[in-house]
Amino acid sequence: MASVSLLNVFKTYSDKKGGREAYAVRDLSLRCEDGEFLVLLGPSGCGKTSTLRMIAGLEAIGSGSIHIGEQCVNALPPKARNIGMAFENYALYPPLSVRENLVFPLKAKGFPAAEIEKRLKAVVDILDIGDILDRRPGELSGGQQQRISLGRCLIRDADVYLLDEPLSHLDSELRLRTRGELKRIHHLYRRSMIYVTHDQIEAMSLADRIAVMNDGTLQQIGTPRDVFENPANLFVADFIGEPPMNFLEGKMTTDDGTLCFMADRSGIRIPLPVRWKSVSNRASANGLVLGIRPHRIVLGERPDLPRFQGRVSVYESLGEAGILEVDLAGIPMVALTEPDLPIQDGERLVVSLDVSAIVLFDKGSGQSIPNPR
Amino acid sequence: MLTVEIKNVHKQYGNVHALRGISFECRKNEFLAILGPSGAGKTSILKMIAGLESITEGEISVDGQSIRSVPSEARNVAMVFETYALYPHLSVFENLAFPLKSKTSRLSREAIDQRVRETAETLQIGHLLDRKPAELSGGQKQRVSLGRALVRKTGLLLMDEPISHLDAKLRHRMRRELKKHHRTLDATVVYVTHDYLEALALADRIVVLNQGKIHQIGTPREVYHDPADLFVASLLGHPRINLIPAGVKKGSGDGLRIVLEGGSAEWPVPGAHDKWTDWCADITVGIRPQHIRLSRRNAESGITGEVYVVENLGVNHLIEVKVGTVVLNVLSRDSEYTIGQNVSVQFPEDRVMLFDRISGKKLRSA
Amino acid sequence: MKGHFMHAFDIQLKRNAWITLGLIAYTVFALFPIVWIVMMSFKGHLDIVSPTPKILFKPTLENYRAIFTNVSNPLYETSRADFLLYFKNSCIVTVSAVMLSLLVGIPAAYALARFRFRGKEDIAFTFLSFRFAPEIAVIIPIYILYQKLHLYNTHAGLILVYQLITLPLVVWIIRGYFEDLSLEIEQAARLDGYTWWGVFTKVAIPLVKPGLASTGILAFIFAWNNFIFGLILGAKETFPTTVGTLGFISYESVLWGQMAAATVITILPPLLLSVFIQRYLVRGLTMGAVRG
Repeated sequence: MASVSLLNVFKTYSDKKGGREAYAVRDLSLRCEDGEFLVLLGPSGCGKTSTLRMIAGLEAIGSGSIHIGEQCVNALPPKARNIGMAFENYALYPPLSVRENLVFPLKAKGFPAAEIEKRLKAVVDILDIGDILDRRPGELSGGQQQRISLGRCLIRDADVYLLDEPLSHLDSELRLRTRGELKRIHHLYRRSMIYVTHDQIEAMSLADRIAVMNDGTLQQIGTPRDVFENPANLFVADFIGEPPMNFLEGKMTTDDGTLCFMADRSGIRIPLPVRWKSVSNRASANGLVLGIRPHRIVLGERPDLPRFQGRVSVYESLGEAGILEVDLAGIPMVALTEPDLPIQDGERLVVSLDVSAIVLFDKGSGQSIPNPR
Repeated sequence: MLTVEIKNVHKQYGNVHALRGISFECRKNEFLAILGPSGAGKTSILKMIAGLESITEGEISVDGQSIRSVPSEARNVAMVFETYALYPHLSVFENLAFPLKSKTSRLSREAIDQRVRETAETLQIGHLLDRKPAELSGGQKQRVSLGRALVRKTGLLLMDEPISHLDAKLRHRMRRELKKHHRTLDATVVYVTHDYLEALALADRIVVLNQGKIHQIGTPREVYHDPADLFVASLLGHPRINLIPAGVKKGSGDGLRIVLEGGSAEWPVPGAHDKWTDWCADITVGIRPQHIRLSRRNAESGITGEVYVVENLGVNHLIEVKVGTVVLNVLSRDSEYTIGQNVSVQFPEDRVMLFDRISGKKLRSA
Repeated sequence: MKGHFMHAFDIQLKRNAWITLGLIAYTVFALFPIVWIVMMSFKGHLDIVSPTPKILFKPTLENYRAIFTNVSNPLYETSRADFLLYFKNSCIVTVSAVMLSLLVGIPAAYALARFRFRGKEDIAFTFLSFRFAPEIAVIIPIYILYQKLHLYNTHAGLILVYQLITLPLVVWIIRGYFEDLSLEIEQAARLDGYTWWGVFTKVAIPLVKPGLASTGILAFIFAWNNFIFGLILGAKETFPTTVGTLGFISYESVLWGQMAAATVITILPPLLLSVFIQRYLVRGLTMGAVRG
């Protein structure tokens, strides 16, 4: 078990079309603590897979350093780095049986037979694959292959385990179940794991901490609650959460002594908690973006919460929840509600905004303004 | 606006019996969704209505008239294909104008131009009219495909998984937009999908199809809250409905008790025995994840379990609770649970569904 | 890491050098006949027949002038080769044959690609089988037939028999292009109100245009190069250049220079078209309109 640190890592690749060099990863510094489950999250092309492959040694670093534990591994080939890796496409060995696939890494390192048996049994128990040990990968379903891939990754006693979108080819029900098992495995064995995905729900559910990346740079690193409640910038705020956060552009004003956020397009005024007053003196107070999550918009009137009249654009009743798009004086806002509500299109209703949970961003830089407490 | 009637239709591809005697009707101006997993035969139905595939057996009528002998090009029906099927050699404008230039259309050049621009504006692709399909993103192609189907203002619109190939965020947004558009459309829509969210959000009624057979036809509310069998109950909902094998035993007094396998818990049957028809001893208990109540206190008649996994999903938390040999998925806003913790599990009576384990059908009270 | 990379780089360089040498050697081998013939066409008679092969020489246009003006040096030949006529014949017969094949073959290819009917694969295979039979095996029956039908020594006769070369090419290659088209695009056009003919002309053909062009050019090259049909089924009035160039070999002498010049002109059209095909072969016209 070991920590993994990246310090000022750069990586370029040649853009064939333009002939220019573009950055896959730019000045990346982050640390996965000993025993932590760190998720690298971002859209395709953000550099997360390149980062994982550099940690594994499958790709060369441009500049900077990567440490596993205390040791700098820049110059070490993959097999000397003591890592276990699970690939997006499983990468199982077709001619070998499941059992042979699983013990392959151990045999390659020359482990004694007794030790191999012990580890095999542990992995088989956790992943519940005892009944398919003698089959070949070609005879297995996608879900089974994915478990074997995970098993082969975990059977090694590695310092850190690297997983590259291992669940992306499973159907939603299987993905849910395997995600739960993965979380449980991490809870029981507390190994350092670095997991790459573009699915923000996967990241939220599995991670101890999430590193959100975009365009080769680190946008924010924090616990799921941190990145969800206190996003560092507009990108993180929009990327995490479905339905996505509602954004309104506007500025701060004082209305009869009450601090307000006045939206640009419609002029509606949202009263803000007093603690935001310190922000109103800043230069950026004239170019702000207010972010509020759909579940913080509630139907009906609430004491202590500002209320607004709106007209229903569309209401979707989706079984477990309902999604309501409501037009507040020209601004569309999406709210998460109960399902099966008798709401008609075009109906007028009242919504209350939970302003204690808003996030303010500087419109120019996109950075969030720290919440004064 | 047209009505569509499917009567006892069979479809065979060689030896494969894709559709086995399905019947349903779609009313004027209705948005009918056909929901089922891939390979269920849904696309075949659309292609038969459109005339792109032959009907092996049975009748399909539109507005009361059988369409068997009517060639595709003469039917007043438009279709949005799963693969978009845009004309690659034509610009977006020409793609939209193509249906209006056929021999059956009688529009003048100016009328065509106007209709194309109107449609493009509604779908917010007016700025793309000069581009070719290869230069468009997935979401843009999908809108052009929709536009081409709408431009003729046919009475019947067929849609084959139109948004399934967009990424999740875009898909959710397009779903809302489709719902908004349907209001302005003066057409009957038959919409095929494997995504139950689309069906619940968009449809007036849903036809649930699996392996060529219809399991249930009903409104979104009926299909979600009163599923006809285990298949329908499992298809709608994420996480999937919890299904627990159980048996029945005589309880104290007149009632019966449901016993979960492994003897881990039991509780009284909702209502007395003689009220239930189709009674049997081998049943499956179904309860949706958002309906299960957890508490840290031990209730007397409750079920106890151990917290297996806790996952943060943003707004909700997914808590897997192991009860005996069964793992239950529970959705809750409360997050203060740790792995290994003992909790008490409650199933509210009005949310419990009982199914016959062998046939899969839901047990109904008389 | 550094040592590891250097080693890999060295191997790359060495392998590249061998490959380059191999390619150069092959190019020299392949192009040599053409280069030699071109040189020969610019050499005077004495340079051509000189005992030591002459690489450096004084170029002359005398050979080209001879074949184009039909004025020959009376010292060296008794028969005449009417080069311009032969070139004209080649053009007429080849171009017409290709046009006829396209006219007939494209609809045939579409039918084979899209429609279902009895004996479809048998008919398709029959087309292909035309290319299997060696021409010389069938030439005698055809000769007899042509005499009876008065098609001997006519352009029409040659155009017709050239179909054995060009039609299978057109049908089989274009069929492949049609089959590659996404069926759903054509289905969309049907629903948009077009009959199968409208779909064929307005959707299918435009989408296989690159295929049509390259197949036409390929058919041209094969037809142009044909020797046997012109030789047996034609005569002095209808010989194509491939046959006509034989005329420079008389029983007295071989007019090397003029034959070389004639050969160069003969190979020019197919050579230029081959180069042209490469640039024209743009595949994936349909990529982008269909999701996959």
